[in-house]
Amino acid sequence: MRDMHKNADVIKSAKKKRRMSPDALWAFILLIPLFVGIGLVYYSALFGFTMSFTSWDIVRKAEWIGISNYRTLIEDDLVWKAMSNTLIFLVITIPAKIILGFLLAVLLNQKLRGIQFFRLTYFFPTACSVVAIALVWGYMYGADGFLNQMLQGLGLSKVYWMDENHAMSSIAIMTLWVGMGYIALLFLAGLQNVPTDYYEASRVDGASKFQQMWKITIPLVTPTTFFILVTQIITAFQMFGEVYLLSGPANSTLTIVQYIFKEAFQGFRMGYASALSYILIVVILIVTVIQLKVQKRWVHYDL
Amino acid sequence: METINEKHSLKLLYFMILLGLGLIIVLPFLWLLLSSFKSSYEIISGSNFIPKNWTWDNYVKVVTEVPMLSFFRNSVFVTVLATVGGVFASAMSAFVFAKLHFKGRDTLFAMVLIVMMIPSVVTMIPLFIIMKSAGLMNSLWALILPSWTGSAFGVFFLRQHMMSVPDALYESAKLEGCSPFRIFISIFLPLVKASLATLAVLNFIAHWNDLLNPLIYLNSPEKMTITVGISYFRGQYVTNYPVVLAGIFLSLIPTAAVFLFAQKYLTKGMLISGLK
Amino acid sequence: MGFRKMSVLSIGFILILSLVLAACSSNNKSANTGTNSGTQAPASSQTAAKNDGEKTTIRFSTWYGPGDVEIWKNVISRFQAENPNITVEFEPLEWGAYWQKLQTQLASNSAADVIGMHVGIVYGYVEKNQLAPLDDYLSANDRKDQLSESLLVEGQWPKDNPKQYALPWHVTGATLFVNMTAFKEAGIAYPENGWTIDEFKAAAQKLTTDKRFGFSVPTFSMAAGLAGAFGTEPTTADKLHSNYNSPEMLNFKTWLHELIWKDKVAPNPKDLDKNIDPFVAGKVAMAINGAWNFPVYRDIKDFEWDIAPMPSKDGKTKTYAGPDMLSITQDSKNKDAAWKFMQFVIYNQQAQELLRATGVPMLKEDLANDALINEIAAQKPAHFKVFLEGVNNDGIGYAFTKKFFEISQLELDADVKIMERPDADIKKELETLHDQVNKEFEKQ
Repeated sequence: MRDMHKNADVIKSAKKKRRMSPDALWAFILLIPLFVGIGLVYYSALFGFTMSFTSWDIVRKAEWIGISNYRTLIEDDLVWKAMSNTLIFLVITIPAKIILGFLLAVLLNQKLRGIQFFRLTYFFPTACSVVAIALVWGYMYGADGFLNQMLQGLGLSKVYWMDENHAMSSIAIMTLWVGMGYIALLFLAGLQNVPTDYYEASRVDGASKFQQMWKITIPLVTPTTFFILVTQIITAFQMFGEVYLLSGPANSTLTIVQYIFKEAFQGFRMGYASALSYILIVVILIVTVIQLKVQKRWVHYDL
Repeated sequence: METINEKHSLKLLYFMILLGLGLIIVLPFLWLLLSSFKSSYEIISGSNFIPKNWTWDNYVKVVTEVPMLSFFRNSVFVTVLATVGGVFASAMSAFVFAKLHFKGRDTLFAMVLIVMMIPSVVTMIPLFIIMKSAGLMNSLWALILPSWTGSAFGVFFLRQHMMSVPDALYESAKLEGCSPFRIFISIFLPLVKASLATLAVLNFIAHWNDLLNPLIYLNSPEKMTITVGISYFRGQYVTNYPVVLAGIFLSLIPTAAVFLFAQKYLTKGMLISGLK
Repeated sequence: MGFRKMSVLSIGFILILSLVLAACSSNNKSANTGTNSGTQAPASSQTAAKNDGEKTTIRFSTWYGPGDVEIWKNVISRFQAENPNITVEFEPLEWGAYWQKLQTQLASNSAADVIGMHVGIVYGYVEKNQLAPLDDYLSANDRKDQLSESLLVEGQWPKDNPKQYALPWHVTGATLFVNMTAFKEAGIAYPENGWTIDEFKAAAQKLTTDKRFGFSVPTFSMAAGLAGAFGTEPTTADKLHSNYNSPEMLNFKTWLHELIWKDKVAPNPKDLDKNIDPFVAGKVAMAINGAWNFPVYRDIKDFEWDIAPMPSKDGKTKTYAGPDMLSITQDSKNKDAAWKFMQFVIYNQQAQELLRATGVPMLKEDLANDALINEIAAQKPAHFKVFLEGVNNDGIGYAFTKKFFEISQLELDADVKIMERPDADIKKELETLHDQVNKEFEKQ
């Protein structure tokens, strides 16, 4: 036995010198699929950038037109409309998701009977396809749909859910309904990571439940909050399915990705669509970088 | 200090709130199910929640007039192949990053991480052009092949778990002359089954529910998956939308089944990614 | 644990079931393209097996209105009965989806062999060389005189040296549907030919009760007939520029706006549930809808309905009408089989007797057949002749240009701003629309 170990050590040190090449070769081979995938992403970034300076409809040859697409972009009302729609959406959903998700997580953290059942139920909508959700909500949002019938049954007046002014908010409400459970589960994980010692110590010092929440829980959960903030904003900027299926009138629910889709696959203006994609990517990157820089100020990794 | 009674009533309050919220979550699904048994006349005129005259018409219609079954078949085909291939590819790459040593490994891994940050919209158009040149338009393979490169998230996720497997296992297997590939297949894959399952479930859900890619690549109804299929065929039932509701309900059954089956893996996955 | 086992079993069961059923259904695909195919499908597959080597499959894709799919499936099964060697795969898509998909399919060479083609936009596709010329096929057709010259012209391009690229399969349009039960309740007589828009408005007022409105404001091509009466159209005569800033258009849109907000005979479009047909639901007593609704409306049981003449202004009446057409794609590898199908659809009575149900008869022999006309009128709508005369005497199109879809979307968006706001600045909205449409014409 001991001999084997000694041999192993000897062989190990001898192998250390040779370990570089055979591993590297294998790594190269085994990573081929990944290279293709990653390569595609980086290639797309470059290709998209180049394409954004052309005018191309796939059928005929591409034509170099310099920054013309970007100039059109700036003057394009629809681009600004899409951006403002997304902004409205963000303003409504992000704070609501975080606050409601957090409160829900606190509830789900309680030792109650059947708590697992509740956790699953709230999470279920996230697992459903956007087609199922958007179509069902679309019918419910109709002028004589289920929601209005309920409101009128309660003696309230009906709401124009999908009209010009409310369509985006209605979609926001729907995504809130879908995502609340998922956010809550993320917060739940964060909550369960807070060491109970802090609570014990504070209780000895006479802290109230509210103070505990404010001074311990919330600060220590900020890493999770940060993760949610970053990922939800990136997702919101790329929203497509919901607005494609549940379009509001007069571009009130147009999003950038939807506009890109229209230009690329319906209008066949590939150059312009690429320019739009690029602008979107830049915006997302800027927003994310800003968030990363600012996190030092409010995210506590330790008390 | 709270009394036992106060504690109990607080718990009751929490329970009631959770129940109320739960009802809000469940209500649209309940409406969906009940309304799928209503005739179009009832939907238009009635304001009743529960159907007065239950009818199976909508389900019959949606299965005979709409190629629902071929939608299902296509969705199953794409989802299963894409998930299996994708998880395998991610696992293989994760293994390389976790256990193999080679120059530039960490830089390469950083590049993988960066990809996670890049919005997916960047590949939408270039991938379309590649697929078109490869003659894969209107083919289900256009939906399957891209995922066979693995995903940045998958690689990151699985690498965590693989790193926790003792190096000694890898080393001693190598000493016995096994190639890294064999070590991967015979030793590591079985050891990280739990994470594989979690990733598989997440991928399954993502592929099953994918709308954008089928929308771009699938042109003829017999190739369509459930997501685009339903969205295209609702136009046939403009004055009779309970039929669409029946179709939607059918499409949710597999989702629910997988969801129940995978609940353990999903919540675990949430915990792991939440820890980031 | 039992729960989990149950879920595993149920997933497995669903997967197996769907695969098995899908396999069965794809084997019976040719049988499924016709509901009346009972005895015919097995016969066709048997004879097809006998004549081996000759079998072809063609793909046929077009848009549909409610009820069209059933009709097409019947037409296809009749065709396949007569032509056992040819299988037709039917790929219907609803209006918006069809045109989106067509573009992509043509660009990626995956379009069907026979495609639906809309009047007025043929030239766009001919310019990109995406349609096959049909002249040779036509000259060999002994029934080619059955179509009037005016119908043939719609599918020809270029105008100075025309080739035939599309042929009509039916002529249809929009007509004014009226709820006769409501008319009787309000004590209004059936409208006479040439009734004015003021008489029309008066009727709408009498029909408006607290439970329903008299009329729903039409949009898009449905408004073309009324717009024509007002002497205006979306595009200029050369079909290359917007006409939205004309005074007649302003007049027209203002009149519609007042129906909602001043006369209160039409509902605010916001109030109409987009998932429900307001005429069918009894929410409005009069509505301009497509004649393709005839088969579906015949199922209405709650009230009696009919169609009425279009209201006139200054003696002018217009009916929105035009042919829907079919073309063969240039890329098709089965042009002969595709032509056989087209020929059947257009010239064969077996097909036409089904297809004309969603519009008016198209073949000369049908138009000359009084008994036939009366027979159609005997089913609803009773005043079918009104529509027939409107189509043949006062037909008008709607923005039938390459930018048809873009223009209609822009007009729909503008209508939202015009019709849904009580204090809309209609002149300004039309000016904006005018600029947008012209910009659209300038794009490639």
